[in-house]
Amino acid sequence: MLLKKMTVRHLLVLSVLMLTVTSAQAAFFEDREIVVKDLAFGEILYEFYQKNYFTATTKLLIARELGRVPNHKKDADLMLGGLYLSYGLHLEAEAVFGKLIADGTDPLTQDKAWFNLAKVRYQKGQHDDAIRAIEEIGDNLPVEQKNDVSMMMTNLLMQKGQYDDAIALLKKSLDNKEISEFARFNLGVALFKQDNQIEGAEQLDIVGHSKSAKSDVKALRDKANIALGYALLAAEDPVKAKAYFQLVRVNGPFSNKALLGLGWANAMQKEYQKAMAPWIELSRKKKTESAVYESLLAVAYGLEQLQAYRQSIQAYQDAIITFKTEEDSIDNALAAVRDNAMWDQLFFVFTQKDAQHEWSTADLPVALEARFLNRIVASNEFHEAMKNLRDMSFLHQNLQKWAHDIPAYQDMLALRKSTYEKRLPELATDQGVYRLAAFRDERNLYREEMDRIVRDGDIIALATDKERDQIDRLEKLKLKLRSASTRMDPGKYNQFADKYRLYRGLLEWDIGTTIKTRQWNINKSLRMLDRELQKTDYRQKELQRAKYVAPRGFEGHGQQIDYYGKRIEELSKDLVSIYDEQKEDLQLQVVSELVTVRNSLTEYLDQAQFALARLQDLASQEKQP
Amino acid sequence: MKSIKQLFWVLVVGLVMAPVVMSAGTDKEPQGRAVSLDDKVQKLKKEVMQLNRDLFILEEELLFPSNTQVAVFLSIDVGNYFRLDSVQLKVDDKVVANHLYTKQEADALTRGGVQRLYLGNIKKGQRELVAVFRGPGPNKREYKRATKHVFEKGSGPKYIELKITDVTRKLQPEFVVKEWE
Repeated sequence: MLLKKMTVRHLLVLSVLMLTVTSAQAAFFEDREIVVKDLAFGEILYEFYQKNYFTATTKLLIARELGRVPNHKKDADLMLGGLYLSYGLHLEAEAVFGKLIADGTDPLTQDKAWFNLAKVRYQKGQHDDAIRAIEEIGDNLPVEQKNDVSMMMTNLLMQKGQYDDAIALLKKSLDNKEISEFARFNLGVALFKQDNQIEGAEQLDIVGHSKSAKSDVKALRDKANIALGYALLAAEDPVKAKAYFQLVRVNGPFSNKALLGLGWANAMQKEYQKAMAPWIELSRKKKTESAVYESLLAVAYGLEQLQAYRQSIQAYQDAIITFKTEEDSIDNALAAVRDNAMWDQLFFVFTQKDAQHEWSTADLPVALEARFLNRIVASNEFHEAMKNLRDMSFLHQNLQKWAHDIPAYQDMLALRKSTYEKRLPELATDQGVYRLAAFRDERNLYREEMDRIVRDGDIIALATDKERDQIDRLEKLKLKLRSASTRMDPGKYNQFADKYRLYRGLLEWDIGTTIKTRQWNINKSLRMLDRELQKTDYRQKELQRAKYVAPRGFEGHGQQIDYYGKRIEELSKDLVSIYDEQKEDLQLQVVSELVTVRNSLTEYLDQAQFALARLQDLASQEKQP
Repeated sequence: MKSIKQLFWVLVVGLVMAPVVMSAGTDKEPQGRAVSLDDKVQKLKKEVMQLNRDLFILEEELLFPSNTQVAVFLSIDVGNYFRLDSVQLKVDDKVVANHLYTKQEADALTRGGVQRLYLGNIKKGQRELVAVFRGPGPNKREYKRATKHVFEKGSGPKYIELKITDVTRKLQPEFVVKEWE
């Protein structure tokens, strides 16, 4: 009951919780600036920073598979390891971190990999392996992670019963302002475990008087004061115990325990009247924890000690009604736990929420009477089970989306194939090859002609159309002049012949002086022609390739689509089956917790009924003459 | 049966003893079952994630073959002089993407994330890309800037990055376009 909740094992949970602060994000990216060298990695970071971890994981897996992050291999591996961890894929995470270490990366990456490996092993309960991993960590981690390492190590040592080592380590951490309160608290716990109550109490006393304004330290302070208060009650020192109970915050999570303890401290001093005040206050509170139920019995007990027997009988009767009502509520909750539809609806709703959502009793359906489930909802097993169910529900929805898309891809591929088959004759690639060869022959003729012109110095061959027309006209005039030479006046003939030579000479001069430009232009055109022929040749080859590759592509993609379709079906079935198994496991956890609470209630009920019978017996004996 | 006071004292005395007792019992039995189930869940999650990866790769191959694939990315370097609210992307005067940024998205960009703004199919040849950025600029005034980029789409995939950087000298944002291999 009350004091079982105050055990060191539960106090240790606090240190363990500190480790969970370092989430997947902090695994690598919080403490340094990353210069994106691969677009794909930047795209992954974009999703990662928005906490879209599933999308980030998918993109990361794709990028690694397709070699799109050549400049961020190490970053990608560390990130993937962290993401695997956040999805509970410990084996995968361990493989990724192990490979990073084996590959011999830089000291910081190595330290981060060892740190994450230690965390994986710690979570899996492999304590010796976790310690070995911690021992490999150098001095390169950022401060926050160094603190986590220190707390993880002390927890491991304490779990292995090596209190001396744990105490030595914790004492070193007392100077670390960030974790000194937590270290001191754990030091107190370790000393208690080592049967060194005096020093343990001293350490808890310092924590209990902490002036910190941090909410987690305030909770720790309450916890320390509660532990000390009950320890002093056990040592029969109610005066000092009261002082510690009075330090506990009225609105804090430990206020109920403090009120109960305060009442008992007064009762121990036979000050039952004083004891009644905290007990009555506690008994009027919402029935959420055992301290409140215990207060119902304590009130009745206090009244009995004050010899207010009638009121005491009434208090026991009220307590019996309350316990029975609560038992009925638990019975209803036990029936509701088996309602599969309720759970499915709950997980479906939560797949829409942040994957890192921290579960609380407020998230559970009313029918489950979540107020009885505080302890289990705070447990790691419950969180893991809920997370697995949420992940599986999400993955199932994801597979259903693909299952819906697969027929569309099959149709798309079929359409592409039929379009290709229809167009294939039109492509006439063979015909294209012949035409290209003819073009190439023609180009070769041009090249040969150009070579001949250069070799023969045949500048007229490079005349423009206009010049060629002028040359033709001059040649016709020349022929006419020759045929008319016998009939013409020699002087006139010579005059025309000179003119012909002049014009012909002028034309040849024009062509001759620009021959280099003309040759350059023609060579340029030939080069352009070569390039175009090359492009055409490339396209022809691509078409030829496509002619043979496309059908194989259709076939390959078709086979892939069919295979993935079947895989979706298989994995969907597996998801449903393992989801049910996990749900059953969770239901068992809840049932077990409800049964435990019910058993406690039954014990309270027995106590109340026994005390009531005793009082009624006494009353009836007094009435007898 | 124990009295209420006795019951309480049994518990109180258990305070110091409890750590020892509780540390000895670490819920071994339920863990055994959970481990086996956990292994199954892990294996299944891994398989589904791998299938998801393969399906995305197939989808990209089918929907965006490399010879027509064009992807436009957006990144922000520093971002002191401009806070991105929205962007519109046009290729050859046709709007291909519009995006309004949430705070989370803008933060992710500022921290170094790169958004894939557009993934589509574009034929070979010379293409013109215009991006219009909107948001509060220097002095928190509404700011609208367009940037144009002409690119040659060849036979391989084309990756273009739109980068918003700060020009400290001018106290102005700058919009840079970079083509990636």
